[in-house]
Amino acid sequence: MRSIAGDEPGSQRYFDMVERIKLENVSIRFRMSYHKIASTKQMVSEAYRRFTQRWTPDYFDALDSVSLTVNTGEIVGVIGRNGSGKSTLLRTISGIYQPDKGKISVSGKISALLQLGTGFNTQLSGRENIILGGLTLGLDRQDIEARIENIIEFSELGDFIDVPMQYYSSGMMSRLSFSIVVSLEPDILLIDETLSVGDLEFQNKSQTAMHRMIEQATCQMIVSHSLDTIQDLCTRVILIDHGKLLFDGEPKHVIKEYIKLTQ
Amino acid sequence: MMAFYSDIWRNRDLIKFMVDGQQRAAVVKSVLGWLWHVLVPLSQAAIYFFLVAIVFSAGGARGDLTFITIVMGILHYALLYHMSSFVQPAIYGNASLLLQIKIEPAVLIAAGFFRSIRIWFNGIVVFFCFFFVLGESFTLKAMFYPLILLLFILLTWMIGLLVATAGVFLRDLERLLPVILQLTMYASPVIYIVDFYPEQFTYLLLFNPIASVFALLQWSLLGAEIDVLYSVSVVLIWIFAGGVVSHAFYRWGRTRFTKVF
Repeated sequence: MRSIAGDEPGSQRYFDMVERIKLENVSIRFRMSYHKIASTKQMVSEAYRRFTQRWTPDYFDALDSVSLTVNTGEIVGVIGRNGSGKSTLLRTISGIYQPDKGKISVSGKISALLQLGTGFNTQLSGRENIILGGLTLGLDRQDIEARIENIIEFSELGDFIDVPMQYYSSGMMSRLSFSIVVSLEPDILLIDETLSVGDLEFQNKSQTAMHRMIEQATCQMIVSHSLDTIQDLCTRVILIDHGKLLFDGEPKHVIKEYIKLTQ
Repeated sequence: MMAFYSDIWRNRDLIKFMVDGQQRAAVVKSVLGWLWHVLVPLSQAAIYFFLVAIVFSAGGARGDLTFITIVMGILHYALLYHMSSFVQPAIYGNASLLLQIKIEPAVLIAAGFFRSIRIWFNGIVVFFCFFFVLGESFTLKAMFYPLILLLFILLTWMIGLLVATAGVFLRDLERLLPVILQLTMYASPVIYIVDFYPEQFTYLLLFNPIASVFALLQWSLLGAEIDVLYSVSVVLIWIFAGGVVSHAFYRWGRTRFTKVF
C-alpha cells in the first residue's frame, strides 16, 4: 500500500486523534460460489474427491492483508472497482464477517448502513416497520417511540404510514428506510452507497440529512462510486483492488490513481 | 453461554416484535387465522384415533387408548413440528438480513422458537378444554405437569438450536427433519399409550428423550404407570448433553454463517 501526501500516519494531526477503527493484516477468504456446498450429494462428492484426488476447492481473497486505522474526526472514502472488496471491508469492520487472519479493533458503537429496507416486514404498516427497523438497527423501544413522529414527518408518507408496506412503491419504501437511518445518532458510521433516494426534492433533503448525520458521528467510512460525493465529503480516501489496499491518502490524489487504474 | 443468552435478553423487544409481525403476516387474508394451528393437529388426532383405536382395534388388552390420549400427544408434539417450520430455517431464511446488519443469529433462532411456543400454547389450551369436556380430572400427579412441560420446552430449544445451525450448512435438513420428526413420533407414545411398548424393550425405547417426555405426560395427566425416575433422568441427561453439543456447535457455526451465505 502507498500513502499519498496529507494526513500520513505520524503527522501531527494523527497524534491528536483517537484510533476508532484499526485493522491489522486482515484477510478474508471465500469459497468460489461454484464450490460452495449446497446439498448432501455435493458434500459426499467433495469428500470423495478430496480423498481420492487430493482435490481442494477454489478460494478467492476478498480482503488480502489489509491494515488500516481510522481516527476520530476522519471521513474515509472507500473506492474501487466492482468486486474489489469495498463492501466486504465494511461488513468486516461492522462484524458481519469474521476475518480469517488478522485483527480488528473498534472503539465505539458502529452503525452500518449497507442496504436500505433491510429487515422490513411488508405485511406490517409503515409505522410498525419503523419500530421493527429501529429495533433491528439496535435502538431500544423507547428511543424509537421518541423519534417516530420525526421519522414519519421526514419520510413525507402522510396517511400511508398506517398502510401495510406491501402497497408502497419502491421509492416510498426507500424514503421510509432512509428516514429511519438518518434518525440514528451513530458513533462510527459505515455507509455503502445509500446517500440518495427518492425524487429530486427528497434527494436534496436526504443529502442534507446525511451530511448532518456524518457531522455528528465521530468517524465515518463511506463506500461510493460517486467520485464527486467522495471528493466533497471525505477527508481521506482509500483505494481497494482485488482485496488489497492500494492507496491511502488525500481524496484528489487517490481519486486520480483510481481513474488511472480504470483506464 | 451467558453472552449468548444476554444477547437474546437484550433483544427481547425485537424478538417480541418479530414474533408478533410474523404471526400477523401469516394469518393475513385467512378466514380462520390462527385457528388453523389448532384445527390441523385436532384433525390429525381424529384420523389417528380412527386408525389406531378403531380400524386396528388397538387398546383394551394392554390398557385403554382414549381419544384424549391422542389429542394430548398430537397437540403437545406440535411444538416439534412448529420448531421444524420456524426455528430450523431461522438463520438461513434471514440470510439477507444477516449480511446487511450485525445481529446475533441466536436472536433469530429465539424469535422462531417463541413463535413456535406461542402457536403451540393455543393448542395446549384447546387440549385442556377437551380434557375437561371429556370428563378427565386432575390427580396430585398433575402438579408435575408444568415441570414436564418445562423439560420438553428445554429439550425442544436444544434441538432447535442444533438444527438451525446445521440447516445453514446442510439444506437437506429442511426436507429431512419432518421425516425424522414423523419417525420419532411413531417411536414415542404420542398416538398410543406407553403400555403399548413391549415390556422387555420399555427401558430401551424410553431412552429416547421424546418418548420419555410423552410417557411422563401420560403419567402426570392420564395416570399411566411408568418408572418416573428413569424417564426424568433420561430427559435431563439429554438436555444436558444436547445443551453442551448444540451451544458448542452454534459457537463454531456463528463465525461461518455469513460466509456460507
